[in-house]
Amino acid sequence: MSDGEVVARSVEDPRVFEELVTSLGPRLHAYLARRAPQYADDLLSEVWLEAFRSRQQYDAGRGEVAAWLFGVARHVLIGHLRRAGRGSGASPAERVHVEDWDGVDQRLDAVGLAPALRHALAALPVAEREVLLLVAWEQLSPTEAAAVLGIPAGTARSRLHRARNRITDAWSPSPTATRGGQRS
Amino acid sequence: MTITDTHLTDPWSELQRAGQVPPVSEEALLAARAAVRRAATTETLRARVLRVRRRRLRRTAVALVAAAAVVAGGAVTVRLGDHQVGGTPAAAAVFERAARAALAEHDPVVARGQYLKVTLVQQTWGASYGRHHILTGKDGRPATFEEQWTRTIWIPHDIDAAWTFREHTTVLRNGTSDPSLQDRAEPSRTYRQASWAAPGSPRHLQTYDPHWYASLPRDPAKLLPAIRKAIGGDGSGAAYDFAEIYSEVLRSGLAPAAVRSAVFSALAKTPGMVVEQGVTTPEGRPGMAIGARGGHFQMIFDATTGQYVGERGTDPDFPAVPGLDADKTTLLSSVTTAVVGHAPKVR
Repeated sequence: MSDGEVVARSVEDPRVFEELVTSLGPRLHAYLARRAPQYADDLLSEVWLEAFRSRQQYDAGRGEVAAWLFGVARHVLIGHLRRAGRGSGASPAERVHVEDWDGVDQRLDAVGLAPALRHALAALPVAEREVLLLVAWEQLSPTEAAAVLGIPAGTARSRLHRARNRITDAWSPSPTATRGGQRS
Repeated sequence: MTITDTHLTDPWSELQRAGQVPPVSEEALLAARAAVRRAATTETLRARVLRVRRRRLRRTAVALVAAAAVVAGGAVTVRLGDHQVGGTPAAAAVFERAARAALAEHDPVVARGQYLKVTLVQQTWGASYGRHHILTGKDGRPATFEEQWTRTIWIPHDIDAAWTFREHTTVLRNGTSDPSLQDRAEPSRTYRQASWAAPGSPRHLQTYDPHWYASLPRDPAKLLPAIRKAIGGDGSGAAYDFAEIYSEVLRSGLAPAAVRSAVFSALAKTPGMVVEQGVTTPEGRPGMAIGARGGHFQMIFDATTGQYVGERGTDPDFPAVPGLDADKTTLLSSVTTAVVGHAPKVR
């Protein structure tokens, strides 16, 4: 039985939904841990409860179950960041992007990502960075990333293309340039 | 650091390396699974009522077709008069005693500022399911578990106002010693929902609506058909009606004493009911159980007081659990009510 069939069957037999937690839970947790590491454990249960409640809305024609679940996880994460960012003075949309990136950036610093690459990522437009990281980290195809973000697949491909070009440019400067703060 | 003095390969590989995170802990994954399992159990309980309603609609359609066929064919029907035959004398005696005991009870009176507290406790055997079957632990034993689910409802004096709910689950035992597949207790969850009694509410359930109870006939001969008609049924017979319809009335905790008494009086005249002696009630007292012959569901009565105390069931599809009898009770539930002065706060 495919994941899609499990979701479909769970509408009549809710008990079977639990098996998706076993098979896809680690990937969703990794998604959360990369973006809000200190809250990933708590958010994981929230994501699965939200997915369970909204499982009748899953449309197999719009992508795989994994892509749908990453969309749910993204929605839950945004809600969490909005709540956490109340009172910061930024608009809700600004808070999401800023704090989402803040968490990611701190982690990239901690794991020792090359500074030039880190700065290139920080300089990317938010929309491009989101597609790039879904593909690079969550192992999603551009089409799946598009399903997560609710955008056309072509848009996701072009954003990914531009993002890859930008970080490649940052990585391959002129022979005299240096990586890190001097170049960025 | 210059671009030429690094050992790094390419930006894509570097980015992927930076994306590596520690694997999810077993605890976090188990907590997520438990949360989904709890939600699934709650939904299943609620779906049971909704299924009954859907079946009623189907049965109504079938009845209309059948009636049309009778008219068209000029058929003659013979009334067998099942409901005049009555159940076994032993079952009838237990039901009649329960009817008298219910009449002696007082309906709770909820004053302004007070709440009716209805506590439903269900003790069930469950299992963790894989793609095609129940999962097996590393010890080779099935991932079954016995848990106790408690749902308490605080219903305000103004019954149409929002109700307060609290659910919690405790695990009584696990079939496997494999921690990755064991069921775990869940913290208590308190929340508010729209009244289940308010007409027009999407959450409205007749069995929680005092106005519906007030509209029911008290004549035992008319009561069960009226309940069947209102709640529904699949037309498959007394065992289904007993387990799915009449039990729903008693399980809600809101049926007035007069209605409960009339239900028991009517059930005393229902054929096919059999008594099982020597049963233990959910509270551990001596009891008696009555169920439809061939069914897997029984009502439990206190052997001393004769009062209805809950229900129990077996599941023929449930896998044999090592160390347990094949006819092990897989469902045991009881409902209690009380009038209290406070409801818990909901954050």
